[in-house]
Amino acid sequence: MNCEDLRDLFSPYLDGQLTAAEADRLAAHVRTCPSCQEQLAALRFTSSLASSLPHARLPLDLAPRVMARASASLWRERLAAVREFLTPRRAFLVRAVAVLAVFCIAAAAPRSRVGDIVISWPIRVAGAAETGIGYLAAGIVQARTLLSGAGQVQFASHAPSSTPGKQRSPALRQSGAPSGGALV
Amino acid sequence: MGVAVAVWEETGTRVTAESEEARLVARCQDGDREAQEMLVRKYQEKVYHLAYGLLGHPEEALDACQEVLVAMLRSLPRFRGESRFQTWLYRITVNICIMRRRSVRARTRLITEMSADSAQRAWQQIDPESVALSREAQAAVREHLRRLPPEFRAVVVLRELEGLSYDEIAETLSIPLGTVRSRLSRGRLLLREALLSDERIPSPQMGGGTP
Repeated sequence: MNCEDLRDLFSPYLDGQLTAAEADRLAAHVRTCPSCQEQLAALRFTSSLASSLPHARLPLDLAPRVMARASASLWRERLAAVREFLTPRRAFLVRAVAVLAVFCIAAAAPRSRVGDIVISWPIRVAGAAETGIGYLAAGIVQARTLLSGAGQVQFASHAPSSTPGKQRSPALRQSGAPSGGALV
Repeated sequence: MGVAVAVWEETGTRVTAESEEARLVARCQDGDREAQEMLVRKYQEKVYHLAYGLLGHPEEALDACQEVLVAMLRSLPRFRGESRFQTWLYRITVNICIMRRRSVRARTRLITEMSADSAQRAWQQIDPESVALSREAQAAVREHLRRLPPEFRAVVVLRELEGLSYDEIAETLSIPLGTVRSRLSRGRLLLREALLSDERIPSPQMGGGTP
């Protein structure tokens, strides 16, 4: 065995992980080889340096924080992380970037001409969205009135005027009779 | 003889301690908050010590320690007792610390919650018995440990700072015994090379070179 091969055994040798025969052979070689002697001493010293690092004490009791965090659900923790990330300065930066991005998109977007007015597509999209939201809101209001009791009353009173039917015709005749009569 | 008795006594106390711990863990798994708090208090020092060894920064270690303990409580239902609880917890610690991206934010987060003064004192709360190295030398050792590639760092820290046996390291990292041996060998060599070239380390044994 040459020195290089033996040096792979230095670390397990220091930990007493070699068989007695291996350890004896290594020790015998090291006694006669100054280079290996130095290498082994250096490794031993390294090991002792690392293992003699002082034991740093935990500076505070983490239990209350850990208990609070562990019981909070995961999404709340993520939200807290986002909130923690968004310091006032960062929040401002995020907003600034968002506004800038909108402007850039608006500026870079293809434009179309409607009469004399040049409109870029984001504005069209925004307009369409606004209209869409308007319709949606109107729809929701309609649906709610339809579903609620008050809406039914309103619907019932509203219905005759919009849908001409048999029930309505007598009333119409009645109301129209004087004029009709006058005409006749 | 003396050694044999000491070993027997140690295993004896270890067995009772382990069964006690198993009961505590079982209570935690049943959702007993008081027991969970006890478990956190029992292990926070150990986790912090390991995290500090792996990360090399007290503040970052504190942050990681908290993360590990939260992860411990969350994954308790998945602990089946196949390994010792501490081994399982150390595995979580190594994973979290090694995966961790070092960030300035993490380092400052908890510090701001403590008063600067108490924080200052806290970092200096060091076991007086173990102070043999100068502050400078300690900083150098920690720095070079931190610079070791993660797979070597984990093995070296578990062996040198935590004093784990090869078997325990193998179990903690879920790697074969042979890999523990080779990584430890390589990690120590890397550390040795780094320390050799650092003038902060006073080393009469390491200074003089052969031609």
